[in-house]
Amino acid sequence: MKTAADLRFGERGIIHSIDQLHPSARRIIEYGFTPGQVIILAHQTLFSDPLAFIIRGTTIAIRRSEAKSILVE
Amino acid sequence: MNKDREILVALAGNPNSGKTSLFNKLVGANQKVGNWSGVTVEKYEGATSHKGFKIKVIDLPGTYSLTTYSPEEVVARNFLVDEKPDVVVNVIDATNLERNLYLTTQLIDIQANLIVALNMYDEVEDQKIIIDHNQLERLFGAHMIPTSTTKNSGIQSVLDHIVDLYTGAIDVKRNKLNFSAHLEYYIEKMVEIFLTDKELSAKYLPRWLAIKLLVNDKAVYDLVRDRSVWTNVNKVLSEAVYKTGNEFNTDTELMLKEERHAFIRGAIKETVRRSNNRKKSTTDLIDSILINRITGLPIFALFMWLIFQLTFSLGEAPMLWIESAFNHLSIYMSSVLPDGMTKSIIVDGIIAGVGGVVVFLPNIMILFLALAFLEGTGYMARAAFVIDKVMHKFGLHGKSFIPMITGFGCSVPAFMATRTLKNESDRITTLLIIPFMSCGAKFPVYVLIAGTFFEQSMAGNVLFGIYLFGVIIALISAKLLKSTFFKGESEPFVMELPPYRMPSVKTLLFQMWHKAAIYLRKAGTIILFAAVLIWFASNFPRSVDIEKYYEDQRLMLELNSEYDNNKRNELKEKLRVKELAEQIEYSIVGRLGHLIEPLVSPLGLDWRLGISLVTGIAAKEIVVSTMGTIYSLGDIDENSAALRERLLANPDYNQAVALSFMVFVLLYIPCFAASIVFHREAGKWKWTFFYIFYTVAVAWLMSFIVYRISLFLLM
Ligand SMILES: Nc1nc2c(ncn2[C@@H]2O[C@H](COP(=O)(O)OP(=O)(O)OP(=O)(O)O)[C@@H](O)[C@H]2O)c(=O)[nH]1
Ligand SMILES: [Mg+2]
Repeated sequence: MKTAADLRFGERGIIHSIDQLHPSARRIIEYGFTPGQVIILAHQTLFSDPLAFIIRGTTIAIRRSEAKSILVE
Repeated sequence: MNKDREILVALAGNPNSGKTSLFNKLVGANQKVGNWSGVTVEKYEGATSHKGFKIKVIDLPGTYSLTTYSPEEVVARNFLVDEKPDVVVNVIDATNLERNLYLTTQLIDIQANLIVALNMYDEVEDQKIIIDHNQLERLFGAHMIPTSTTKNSGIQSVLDHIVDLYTGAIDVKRNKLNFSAHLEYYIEKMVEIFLTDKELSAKYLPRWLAIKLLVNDKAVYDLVRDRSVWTNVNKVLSEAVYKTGNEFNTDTELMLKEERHAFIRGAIKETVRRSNNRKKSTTDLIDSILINRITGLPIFALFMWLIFQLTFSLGEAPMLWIESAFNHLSIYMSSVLPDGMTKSIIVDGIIAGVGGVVVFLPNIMILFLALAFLEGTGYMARAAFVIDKVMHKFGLHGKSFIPMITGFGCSVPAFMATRTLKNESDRITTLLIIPFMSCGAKFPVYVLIAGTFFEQSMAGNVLFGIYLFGVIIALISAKLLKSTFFKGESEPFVMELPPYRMPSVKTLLFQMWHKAAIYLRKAGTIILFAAVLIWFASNFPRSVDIEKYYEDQRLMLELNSEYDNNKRNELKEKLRVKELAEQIEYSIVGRLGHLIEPLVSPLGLDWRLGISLVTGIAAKEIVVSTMGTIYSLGDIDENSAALRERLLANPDYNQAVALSFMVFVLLYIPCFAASIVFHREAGKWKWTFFYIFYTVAVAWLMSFIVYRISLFLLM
């Protein structure tokens, strides 16, 4: 399945689930990355890491390694 | 005032929701207002009075929830749960209810006496968002008051509500957030058991304890596991965990969080109308350039370069004014004061010492104004975003960048700024490398030395090279520390990029002034004291023999009829300087310098430079003034030009020595005040000792290498 890290620039996705085994999973959920939520990849840096997503009306930046724990559909 | 006429109020809310702004409006105290997520790490207090009540307000750090993930959250939660403030004002960014109300649901869990300030209502109206706050009030069971700190509206209403809620004139419904039947079943069961423990349930709400156990809250677990009720509670808890996994294929923590989010989504659907044609916001537009994939990094570099340029070019003119003002003062003072000890202390000790420090005030002010602007607008978070990958390569966090760049101004605020880093190993690493970011106080040393030993056209490059060298050493150190002491875990980079806002001029000026005041206070206390101390140490003890010898020499000169008056005066001046030099060598300063000379001579430094380094531990500004004292004691028109001539006249000094000295000043331990702050921030003696050892060792080693290489290349 696709992860948030695979989204193209400007593409939107719906969160399917968060990899519970990822060490940052709790933190990511705390910031509102929950199943069913729409996310848009809004910004990325030269190195494509970190990535910034628009979620629940705010822009949240996370690292690529963390984005990989977010499965989208 | 009667104790029960004092109301304790806490301001709680997400980062950047405007707590500090509201705090300032409520109590009238101005303090740091920033846009960097989590600026307020400590709790700030203030007080006001309203309707005959004294209202004590605490500004809590911004948090997204009341878990105990970060120090901010711990501070906020402990205060709310343990101190039980009379009223909690939940400050919310009303343009973003969905995110902000999450914390509100948790404040409901602890049954706080809750008032919700729907802040930034001006922006809500601008964006044509319509909020049915009466309905929202019914759903959450808390009073919702639209406020705008920028438009100054709703503030009185907040005060009214605080008093009315306290006196009981109005009520809170204390709705409880109902979770699914599945979860409620277990919560109820645990609550029943907790109620049998009178002591525990008097202190903490049983329902809150139950909910927290379901989300694996370590702190609550520690609270209850030694109680006798624990075995029974644990039985229910285990069943809940098991059933949730089995029947719903998830865990209780995730389930609770999702239900909270679902409740909020439902509430918003019911109460918020957004105009449909939502245009791209200004923030998105600005971001599409500022953190664009291609332009983001160059723009970032440009901003940093601009800060440097502004700091040093705009600062130049006022620097000259201050310099000449102090010159005039010292000329004036030496003309009115009678010759002797007092005059020497005042002119050479105090005016020279303090003047040398105050000169850099313009630079400091410009730098901090620029940093406050970047922070206030919200760009700092972007800077962390853009530079994170690079920082991460060296084992650092994007957020480490802010303390590091602040370190260019002064290590004290830089050390304090590391608090935004949640992870201990990230924080200590950043703390340890900040000394290598050349602080503003070291700048005069470079100006003096580079300006003396290098041509005008080269001096700027040398200066830049020194700064760059510091950054490189910092990054290498970070990598080194991260791969030895702090192997493994690093904080996840999860950070909000807040909407851009124009910080108010008042706030910016306040912050600038605040920093300048700290600097000036330092000039007026530590540096003043050190200047006098160094003056004494370089004047005492005096050798009677030397005095006598030169007295005789002078007498012989008078008697010698070979010279005309001019020649005689010239020789007299030569004698005077020679005597001074010999007296200093005899003084405490001279002796100490000679004592450490074996340590610094491999670096090409003599006892004079060595002693400047020693006094520099008190404050880096003193390095230059020490040299001034050592070289031109008793000289009434002491200025840097004179000092430069003296330095150049010393045959032992050359460019290699100059570089070695500057590198040492760049890298070794920051000033005394900063070291105290370091200790406070690092929290363990172990780190403070390591910090002293590490900075001095690195400084020595690098000076040695630089000296040897440049001897080889330049000589
Ligand atoms: N338009 C508008 N801006 C506001 C309002 N209140 C605060 N701001 C701005 O929002 C930003 C953040 O305000 P702060 O008061 O620092 O927020 P805080 O909640 O204390 O933030 P932390 O201490 O980081 O948690 C600042 O740039 C304020 O100028 C408001 O009512 N309207
Ligand atoms: Mg604040």
